Amino acid sequence: MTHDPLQEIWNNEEEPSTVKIDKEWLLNLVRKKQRDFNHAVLRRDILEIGIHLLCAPIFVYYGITSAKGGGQHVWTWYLVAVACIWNAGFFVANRLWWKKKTNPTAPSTSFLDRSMSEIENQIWLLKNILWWYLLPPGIAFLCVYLQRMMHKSGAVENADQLWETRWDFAVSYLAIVVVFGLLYYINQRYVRTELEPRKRELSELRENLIGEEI
Amino acid sequence: MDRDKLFKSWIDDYGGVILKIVRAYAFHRHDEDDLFQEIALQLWMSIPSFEGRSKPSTWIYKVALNTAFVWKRKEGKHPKQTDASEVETEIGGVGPTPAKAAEDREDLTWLYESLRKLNKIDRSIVLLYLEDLSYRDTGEILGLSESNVGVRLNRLKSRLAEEYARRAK
Repeated sequence: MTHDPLQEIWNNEEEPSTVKIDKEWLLNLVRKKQRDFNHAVLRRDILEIGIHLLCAPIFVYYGITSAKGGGQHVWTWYLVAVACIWNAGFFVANRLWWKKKTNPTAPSTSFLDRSMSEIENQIWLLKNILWWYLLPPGIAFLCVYLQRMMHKSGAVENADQLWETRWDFAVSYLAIVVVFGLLYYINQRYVRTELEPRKRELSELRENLIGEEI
Repeated sequence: MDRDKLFKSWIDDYGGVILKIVRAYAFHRHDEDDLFQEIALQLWMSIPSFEGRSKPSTWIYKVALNTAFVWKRKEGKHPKQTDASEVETEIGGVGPTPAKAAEDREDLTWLYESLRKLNKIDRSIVLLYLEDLSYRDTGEILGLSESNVGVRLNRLKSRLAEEYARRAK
């Protein structure tokens, strides 16, 4: 067959030698991927815990300083601080719980079982992110807004001003809802596009490589 | 044929081709290893879905290119640069004499660099053309019509031929 110059160049390269691929090679690859995944999850957890622990004293400070200069004491800022501590605590508790559940030293727990358990745990965490991660600070912020709105409403002179105040607070709270909604969407998408395919992949591997793993 | 034997035969027969695809999509040596491993894993995973309706080669190209597309998106953070010296060391042996070998190696480096500059669909079209696949097979692998493949390939071939001629001068 006649090749054009580009095909000639392409075919000038000798076939590169390939690596020996067997079940052990595949298992090593899965181990490597799982290690990378676990490191990424650990990095995320550390970052989340750090940010929440940093934010908690900031909201406490807001609460304390709100009453200074004769202003209203917005004690609901403390609720936001509590929500931050709750979120950080949830990450820690989940990690400890998962570690206890899948004891890596237990001989009956295989590597693929542990990987599967880790993925399932992450899917559970992210699918339920609304309840444990978004709702606590969401409700706490709502309390802050309501307290400030009620205080401001008490000082208005007529019904128009009252509705204007309510409208202002509703719009600014809506901004928080939108941000939280976006976070929810991103996480659900990650579950659909990354975690669930990975779970299927692991499930398939577990079925086919059973007995081969160390 | 059982899954393990089929997988082994695919890797034995098409491992070299997969490595060439990897080189066209990965820009650094450690990325090449990653992509090759990912393609091998996806091929192994794809075996139950392979019903023998298409040729094994078509199936393997399809899986390999789809994996490379997705992998590229994941690796978007990596700089899209090509280091000629790095590429040169990675390319397999070429040419019968040292002078001819050096010339062939330069040509090959240029070809890989040119491929890497194309968008992912165009790169795949040229790659499959270089592998001597028909328009029909290329279209089937990439989900394009034969005529679309033909039009795009002619345009790409002319462009590459012009660049090659300019380079030769």
